[in-house]
Amino acid sequence: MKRLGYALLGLLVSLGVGAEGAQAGAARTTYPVVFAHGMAGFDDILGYDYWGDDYGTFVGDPCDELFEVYCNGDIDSGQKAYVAQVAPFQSSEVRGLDLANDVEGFMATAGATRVNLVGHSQGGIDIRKAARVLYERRGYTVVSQLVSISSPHRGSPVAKYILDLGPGVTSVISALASYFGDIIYQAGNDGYAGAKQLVYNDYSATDGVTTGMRAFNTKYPADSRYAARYASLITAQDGSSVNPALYLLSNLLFNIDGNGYCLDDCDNDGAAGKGDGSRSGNDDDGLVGVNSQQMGYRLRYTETFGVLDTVSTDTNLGYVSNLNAPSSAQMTSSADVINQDHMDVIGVGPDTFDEMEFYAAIFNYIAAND
Amino acid sequence: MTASRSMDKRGRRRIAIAAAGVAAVAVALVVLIVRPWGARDAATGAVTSGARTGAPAGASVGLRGGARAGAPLPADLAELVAFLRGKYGKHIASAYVQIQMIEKLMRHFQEKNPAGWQADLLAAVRAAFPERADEIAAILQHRLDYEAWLDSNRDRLKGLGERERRDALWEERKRLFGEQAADEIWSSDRKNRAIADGLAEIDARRDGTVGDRLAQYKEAILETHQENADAYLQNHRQEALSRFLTLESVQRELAALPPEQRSAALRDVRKGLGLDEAALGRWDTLDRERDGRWEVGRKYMAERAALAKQYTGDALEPHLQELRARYFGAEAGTIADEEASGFFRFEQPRKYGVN
Repeated sequence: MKRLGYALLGLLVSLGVGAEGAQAGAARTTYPVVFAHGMAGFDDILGYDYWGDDYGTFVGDPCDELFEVYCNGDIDSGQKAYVAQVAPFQSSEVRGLDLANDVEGFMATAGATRVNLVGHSQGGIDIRKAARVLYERRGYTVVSQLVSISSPHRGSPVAKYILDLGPGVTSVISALASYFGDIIYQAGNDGYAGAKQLVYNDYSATDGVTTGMRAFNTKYPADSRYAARYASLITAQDGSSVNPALYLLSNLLFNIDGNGYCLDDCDNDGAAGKGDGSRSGNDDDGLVGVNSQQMGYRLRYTETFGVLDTVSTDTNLGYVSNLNAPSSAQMTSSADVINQDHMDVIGVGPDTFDEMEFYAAIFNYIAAND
Repeated sequence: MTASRSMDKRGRRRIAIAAAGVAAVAVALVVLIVRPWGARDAATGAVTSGARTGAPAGASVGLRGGARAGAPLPADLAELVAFLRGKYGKHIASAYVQIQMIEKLMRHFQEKNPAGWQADLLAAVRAAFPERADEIAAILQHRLDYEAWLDSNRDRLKGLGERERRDALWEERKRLFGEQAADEIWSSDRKNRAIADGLAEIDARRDGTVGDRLAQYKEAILETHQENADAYLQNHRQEALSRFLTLESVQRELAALPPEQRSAALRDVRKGLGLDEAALGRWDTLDRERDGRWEVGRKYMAERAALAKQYTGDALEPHLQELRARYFGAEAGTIADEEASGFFRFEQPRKYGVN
């Protein structure tokens, strides 16, 4: 019996079970991964909660100590990651430059020569500018993989709705505070600049400046000089399921119709493309329509209980290189849309979305390509 | 003899049972490794993929269903048990690990069996960790109650100040989970906030030098992370550095120093947070580059202002283009794009060690 016991133990060990997890983890990326938060994104909590599970543990913290529990067991124990910090409410011109400076600092501290950038929401827009600034400063392609999650590359109707003071909105700043918290009242923020950034067209013809995603996309395109690869993850969920923090939608005040096609913002709702006539269904994530989110390759996230989730490239829909002119399919297809709202994929809980494994899958995808 | 034969028989039977058990485990493990359960594409992945758990408020949780004690587990449950033990078994005593496992199982069973997911979940827990089944069932109930409480108190919480909101959350967590479990579950959150509070205190301090503030910061890190402070800094050195240097009080003091003393102060901060000589050298280089950029920017803005007095409208732009190309080379286009949007980077405040 004893021998059998040892034989069983040997079998378990040889199969890699009983040590740490029956589930193989993500490979280590060649270059560190820098996380860029979305609008607000930063309370006074160092950013880990934004890029954490629902209990504050950073998704990029590897389990590198013997009895460590507060870490991501699905990533490589030598994985390097950094949580960047930029102005909470600002245009992506400002935030993108902040981010480039922050990345430069991280590279000096870590001795890195290149990085990968992952941005959520507006962070996915900021990273495009940062990639260009870093390229121009260093004279080489500093950013390897550039991945956006739930980013309004072609604008958000919610941003325009708030700026237009639609029903349920009494002031731009208080509406943003309802979404993102009191941090907007701190010095250095410009909620108007942040909101105007996320409208597709130039919001005001009389303010003497050109804002909005259309102009930004022309200036900061998906260009292989700035980043070797651009890719995006897309989220959408039916209105009834969204996080109450997305109050315009959860209170039935405004629901985006975000999965129809046309060039530019033909219906003047604040985002390129138009609706398909139905506001219900998984055509937006509470802040951003499906037709606004693809940049570069569309990525497919596959959850698989029992083994590491995967992120892979969906080559069927092609590559969005001209961010202002995606194809009809790239704007309307529901393929690979992750059935989550805008907040689920970051550390806003409680929910059952497994942030640790989701980001491990992203690390793994980056490791395969960087 | 009879007894001996009987013993041999029993022994052979035991060996046969044990061998069958090993074979079953081996098969289960092979199945586990090569055949994942129902790969689910995120796009088509059924249910509402649970932002919310959908549990009825106050729903009670009990240990129901599942395999009888001592009976062989059905194959799919055996696979699940092997997975749970492999992934969570090592640290299952931790309430944080328990709640991670609970949420993983909630997502899994809510999709498979929306009406009876709790019973399925608890059956799996009982099979995998029988000695902790009651404890984990209680954590599940507290988790559901906490979510229901958050939902019903969201508006009230929003109306509170940041400190009051945090206190209210902690009070409820402790009430539901108990102080020890709440501390374990939200340990990272608590530590993040402790460091943030430490930084706020340091920033509010009216006296002291950059060095004094750094000493207080290091003390806060040590107090919060204790024996893991070095490991924390190892993984978060740049975050720790950046959050300190962005404090208004630190920037105010750095700005007041002559350039050489400022450089020395920055070096001390970086060294104090554990940067090695190679990293300090890279920072020296970057500091010089940044000083150079700001100096160029200062000159550019002065010339730009002079040109704007000479030319207006369309006549101004060609002169600005020439000026930007002369000052910024490869970055001239980006500077022009920023200005078109109304952003002038050299009008931003200089933050030493940051930009």
